[in-house]
Amino acid sequence: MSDPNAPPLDPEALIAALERHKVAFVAVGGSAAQWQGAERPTKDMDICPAWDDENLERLACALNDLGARLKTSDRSYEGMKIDIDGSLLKRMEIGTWRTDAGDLDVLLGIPREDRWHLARYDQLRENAIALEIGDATILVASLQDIIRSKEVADRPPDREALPELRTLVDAGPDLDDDLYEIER
Amino acid sequence: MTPVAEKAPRRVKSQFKSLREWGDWMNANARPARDDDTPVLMGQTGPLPHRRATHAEIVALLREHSARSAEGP
Repeated sequence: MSDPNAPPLDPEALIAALERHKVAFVAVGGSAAQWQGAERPTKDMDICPAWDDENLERLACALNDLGARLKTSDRSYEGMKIDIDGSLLKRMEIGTWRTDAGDLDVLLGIPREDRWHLARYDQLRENAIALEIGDATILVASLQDIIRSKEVADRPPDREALPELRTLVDAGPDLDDDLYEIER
Repeated sequence: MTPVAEKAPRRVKSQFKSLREWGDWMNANARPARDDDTPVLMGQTGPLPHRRATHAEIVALLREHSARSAEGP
């Protein structure tokens, strides 16, 4: 592991908790890209949940089940037990959570048109794919939306990720394909 | 008025056989942690990258939240 304090990611446990509480979300970020063929390293899962009160309360229940603590620059603070609820989640555009099943980032949205406007759950859902991974089916942001967010964010790691993502889109399926299988 | 049916998302099968297989692969290839792996408070939308909350801001947020939770609804 690259971060000695981070528990190994257990995606089965993370997804199971989200599904158990019926959390509506779209997976984004490096993990969403990896599930679509990218090999660039990441270290957590990123999700954009529907931002209504009920869904955020369900997400808070899932995070509490997972023993989530808020990550800060001062690691000594991470052990503080807090009772997470929807109102706390609503105070953060990006919540960085360390759970017993690994790190999970909760995002209000990802950049879309420019640096001031985020694509949120409803917009991401329009282009999302239903990714089948084993027994799980996860709503995942399209590579096009992930690419757009990285073009707009334009940080060094975003620029580094773009060539591989564009290659994956160029090699991708026709939109009429009923079920496309990604090859390794 | 008849509601318009939502378009079903396109189905794609991952190259990983299971979430566990992806987790094993991801953990073996995890990238180093970065300094910006910390929260961004609401209201920071603006020129990217968003400003990450300082430790003091997070402590203040959690203290306020805890006090509000203790008061009840």
